[in-house]
Amino acid sequence: MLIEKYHLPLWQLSLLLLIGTILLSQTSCKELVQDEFPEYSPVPTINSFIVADSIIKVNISLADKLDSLPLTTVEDAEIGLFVNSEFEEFLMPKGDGWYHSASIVKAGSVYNCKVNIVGYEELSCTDSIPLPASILKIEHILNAGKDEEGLSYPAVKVTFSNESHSKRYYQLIINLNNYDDVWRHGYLMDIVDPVLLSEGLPLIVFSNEKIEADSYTMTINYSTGSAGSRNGEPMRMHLYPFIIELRSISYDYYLYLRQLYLYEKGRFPEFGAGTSGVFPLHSNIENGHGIFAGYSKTLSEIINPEDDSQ
Amino acid sequence: MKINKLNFHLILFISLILLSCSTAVSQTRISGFVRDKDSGELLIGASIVNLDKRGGTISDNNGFFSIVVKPPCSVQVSFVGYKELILKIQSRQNKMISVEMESSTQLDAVVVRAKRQIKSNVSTLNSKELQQIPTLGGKPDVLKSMQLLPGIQSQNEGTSRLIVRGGDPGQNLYLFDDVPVIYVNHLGGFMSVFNPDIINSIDLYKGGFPARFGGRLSSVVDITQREGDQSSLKGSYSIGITDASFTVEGPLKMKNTNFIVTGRKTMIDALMASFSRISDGNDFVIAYGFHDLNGKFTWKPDSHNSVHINFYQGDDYLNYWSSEKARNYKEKSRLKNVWGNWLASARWNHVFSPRVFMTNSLSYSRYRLRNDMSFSVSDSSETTEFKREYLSSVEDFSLRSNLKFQILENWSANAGLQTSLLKHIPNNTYQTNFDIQPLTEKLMGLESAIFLDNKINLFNRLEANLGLRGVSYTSANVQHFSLEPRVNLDFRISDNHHINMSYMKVSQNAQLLVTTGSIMNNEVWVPTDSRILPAQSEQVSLSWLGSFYQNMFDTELSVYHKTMSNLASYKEGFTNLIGDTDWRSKIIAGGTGESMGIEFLIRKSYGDWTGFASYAWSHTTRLYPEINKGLEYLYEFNRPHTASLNINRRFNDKWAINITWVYQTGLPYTPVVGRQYTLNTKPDANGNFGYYEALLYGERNSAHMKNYHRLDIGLTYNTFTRNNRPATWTFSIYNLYNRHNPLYYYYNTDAKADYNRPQYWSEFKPTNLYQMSFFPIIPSVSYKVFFDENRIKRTVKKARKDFKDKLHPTPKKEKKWRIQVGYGVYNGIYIKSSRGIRSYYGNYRLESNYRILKFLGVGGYLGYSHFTTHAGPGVSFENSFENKNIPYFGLNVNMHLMPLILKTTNTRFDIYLKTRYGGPLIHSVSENFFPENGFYPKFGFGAGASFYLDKYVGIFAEYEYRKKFYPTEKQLWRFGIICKF
Repeated sequence: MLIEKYHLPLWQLSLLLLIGTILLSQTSCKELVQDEFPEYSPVPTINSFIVADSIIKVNISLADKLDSLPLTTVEDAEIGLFVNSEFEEFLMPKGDGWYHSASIVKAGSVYNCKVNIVGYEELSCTDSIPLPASILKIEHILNAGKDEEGLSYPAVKVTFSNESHSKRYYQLIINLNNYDDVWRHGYLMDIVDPVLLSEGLPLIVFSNEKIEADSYTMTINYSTGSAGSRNGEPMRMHLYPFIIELRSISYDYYLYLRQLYLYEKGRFPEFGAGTSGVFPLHSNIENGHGIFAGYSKTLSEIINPEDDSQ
Repeated sequence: MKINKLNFHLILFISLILLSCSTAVSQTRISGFVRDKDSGELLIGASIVNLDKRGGTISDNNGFFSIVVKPPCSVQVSFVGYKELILKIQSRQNKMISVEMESSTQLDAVVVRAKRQIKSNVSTLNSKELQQIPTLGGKPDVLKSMQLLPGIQSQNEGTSRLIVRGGDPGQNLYLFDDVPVIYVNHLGGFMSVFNPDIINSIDLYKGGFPARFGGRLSSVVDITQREGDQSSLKGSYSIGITDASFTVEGPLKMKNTNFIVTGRKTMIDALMASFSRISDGNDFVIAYGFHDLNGKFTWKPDSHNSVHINFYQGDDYLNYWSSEKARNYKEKSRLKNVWGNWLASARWNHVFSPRVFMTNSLSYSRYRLRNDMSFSVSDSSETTEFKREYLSSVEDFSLRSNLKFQILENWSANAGLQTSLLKHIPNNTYQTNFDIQPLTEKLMGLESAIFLDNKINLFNRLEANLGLRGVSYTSANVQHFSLEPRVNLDFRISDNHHINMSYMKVSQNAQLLVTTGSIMNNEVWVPTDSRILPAQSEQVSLSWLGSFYQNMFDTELSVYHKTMSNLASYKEGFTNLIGDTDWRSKIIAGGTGESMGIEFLIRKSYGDWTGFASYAWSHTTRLYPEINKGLEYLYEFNRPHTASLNINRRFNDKWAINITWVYQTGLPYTPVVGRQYTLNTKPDANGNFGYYEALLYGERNSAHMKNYHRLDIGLTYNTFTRNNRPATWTFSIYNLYNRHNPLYYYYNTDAKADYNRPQYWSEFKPTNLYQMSFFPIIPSVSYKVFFDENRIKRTVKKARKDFKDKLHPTPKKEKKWRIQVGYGVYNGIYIKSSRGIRSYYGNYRLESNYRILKFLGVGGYLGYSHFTTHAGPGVSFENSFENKNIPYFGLNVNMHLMPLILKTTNTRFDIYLKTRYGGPLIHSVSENFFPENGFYPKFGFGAGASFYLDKYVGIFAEYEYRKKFYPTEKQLWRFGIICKF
């Protein structure tokens, strides 16, 4: 029959097309675009996180083009340290691009480094180290909520002092003691605190712009990143002893941390996850790259959350 | 008294109008509707030209036209694909007429060489043109077809979102029979929500909006739905790779009423659900899908009135269910993401006289995005539940009234009122673990607009469209009012050449926050408030429009300049507002944008080959105070050069071909200029900060990815089904030459390495630039069958006659043997409480059946599957498993249902129930392992379906439930090939 004659090849063609679709969809979708890049003259980079009550450690290296050999550190730089605009000392080279001070960082002081490297313009960077804030009270909540898989997560409520009359920036860290000497950070879970929410990023890095009182209690839901089940019971989050570290951070450190989060997020786009563009790291170095910023910190005592459950 | 300059110009202008209409005496107004003769469908955009005197008009979105003539005279009505009509006007009385046009079937030259009115500032696509253009998935797509026009780009490859003259995707007004549609995408933007089967015509305005349009900055996509066939019940159903769809249309029993209903549904939901069950041993089910349903009811009580009721409902959904049962507890979780539109409207059109036409509509539309999650864990003593519900929605109740009237012979006006009550819930989250539930923020707004459009024709040379739109927006804490002037001057150089100049100012009171590339919908609309001011845009454009060779070719050349202000966007790094009660902190406002460009289009409307070619150059920038350090940067979708070529050729009644080639400059990206060290923020135990490599980015969006181009080809084959119904096969190939167009770029040390591969000193690898592309050559096919009540009646009648003629028909010989070769996934043996030792193995089977009765087959089967046997207690974990290929066999009985329903044999489609008795023959298993060596026959029950691709070969799928052979799973899906002979 004529109609039958027409149907057979069309079905076969359709099948072939479908099979072809499946096969071709397996073809590689990653490919090299470029492996040679325009010339980029090396630029000095200063990196240093200045921590109150510690010596200053500065790393000097050269930023280079994308496809160059491993980046190089600078071992013969001359680094002059100024504290509150007064010359303090020259930093001593320690190898691998590191330079150390002899003096100890004092909170409330302004630190400035002038770096001279042969063949380059003088680099300069400045930051002030804020005074530490006090931790007034810590409360641990065993079951603060449940995550998307129904796993209960805990929370800490940290009350700390605040200088409401001046602009301050803070970072709060939950240091978990997994094993004897191993400390790692707890992960921030569902953000409920209005100050953190107003910051807009899932970080415990915030300003006191929305804190009007001289103290503030912040609620932080956290995860230890580890869970397990015993005797057929539902999965429970493992809890570990922890220390709360409250950092009073400088404005540049605040900007750096925020931008670092965005940098990491934009570093590798993911298909289907939505893109948010790429972001450069924050830098406060004149005539170069890098970051020169710092903080002072206050540590709590070790708190054992299991004690609360008893 | 001194006359100032403005007054002088005003007097001069009015004098010119009066002078040009001084011939109004003894003139007649002819108005009416243009329709398809067979179906009664309105023809939108038909040209009505006075042959004795230059000038004419175009039928509007209601198919309505009105023209002034001086009898006796001839008026020509023409429309692409239809035979032209010449109307002889003798009477001097104003009158209403109904113009019925006959579809042309001539292949060589569909005669539309008639004089045609040229439309300025609008691109029109009718349903026939739309159906021809091949797209990803083999089915036509409204918005993807629009992307071929100059000045209109897609956001990313594959997506339906429109970027019009440098505007954002949320700056396009989509009107569906005059009702705004808020969400226009399915499948993460890969398809649009507009079902092409219900579309009559699409007008797209890129600039020079008439004053009746407003509320969006960049474009108006004015879509008119079909009314449905008025002569007989007709319809179609089709199936493609992405979805299945249907259309039913026709007259209703009530006099002068007719309807059209269309629907679409993805077919991948069930497949995804089945595969996810098979692949992970019943623990979870995941399914994505979408559907939409459109309907329109029309009632025309008389020639002066018509009432239309429209509805639309469409949703996308991503669902996830999981459950886990163990000895001591039970877990259940559910994730539900739903997003889509509801739309309902009623419209009344009334013709007061040939001079006055009125339209009133009342509508409700709603867009909502829901993201719900629930979880429960129960043990012997308690049940713990967790629930989170997220909602973002926009509701729009609108009343629109529009009056078209003729003031003088050459001066017509269109005035109207639009008022919309808007309810925005940008971000509402309920979460059981919140101590205090955040209040649902309902932002109410009232947006009202009043407009007046004047169309003035001066000496048949200059047509001036002068409009003014006043827009007011009121909400609890803000009130805005703006005046939006619209000027559109069309100067006719000759019958075939026009120069057009337009200026418009538009404002937008709700802005869309959207990021690119997200498979999940993250579209959130935020209304104007004290911080987010109404976005505004001004645009000027200058165009030349011409036609050549008896209107065979139309051309358009345009230049434009557009500025935008008060734009809102997500803050850098954010892609959604979910879960954030302080959602405003994620939004930045006060952005500005600028776009300029040149566009060229040439279209061939008739002849053996039809199609169009377009080219556009554009330059678009953005500036936000909090992005890129407040510096201006190139817009994310700035593609300086775009071009497209579309060619159609109809060879005969059966075969037609469509070829589309697209070229675009690659999307901008931010290049990396170098590498630097940066410090790890977490010090080691000694307080030292380590360092690692980071990238140094150059200027934002300062480089372009490699150019984008692809060739698509679509082949249409018109045929008839075995029941003599018209059917269409569409074969299309997307990206014919398999160009790997980049979707995005990334930098890494190795394409195969993980993204976060650190740079090792010992094994240094230079960083390179890589691309990801996701749309290689993609063939697709769709099949569409049309049915027609009259044709069916004729077919049934013929079948009865044939039956009578053949009193003793010779039955076809029944094919009695069936052989099946199948493959399923078997879960192996595992102990449920010991999580993590589950395995999935292939299960192969050969089965044969012999039909002892028409509906009953008996036979046997054999095959093998892979088993994991498990040791009893006391054996160390490492030695507790053995993997074996175990044969199995048995007998089966199949009951075929189709012969019980139909009297025919050897049907193409077969459904059957099956019973079997058999089991595995376990052998060579170590002592103390379970199951022990032996034969384990059990009963099994199931159902299946087979579909024969030709007389002998087909495919089948079946489901089987078998009695538990401890501790194996009880269910199995099997797929394979079936033969009958």
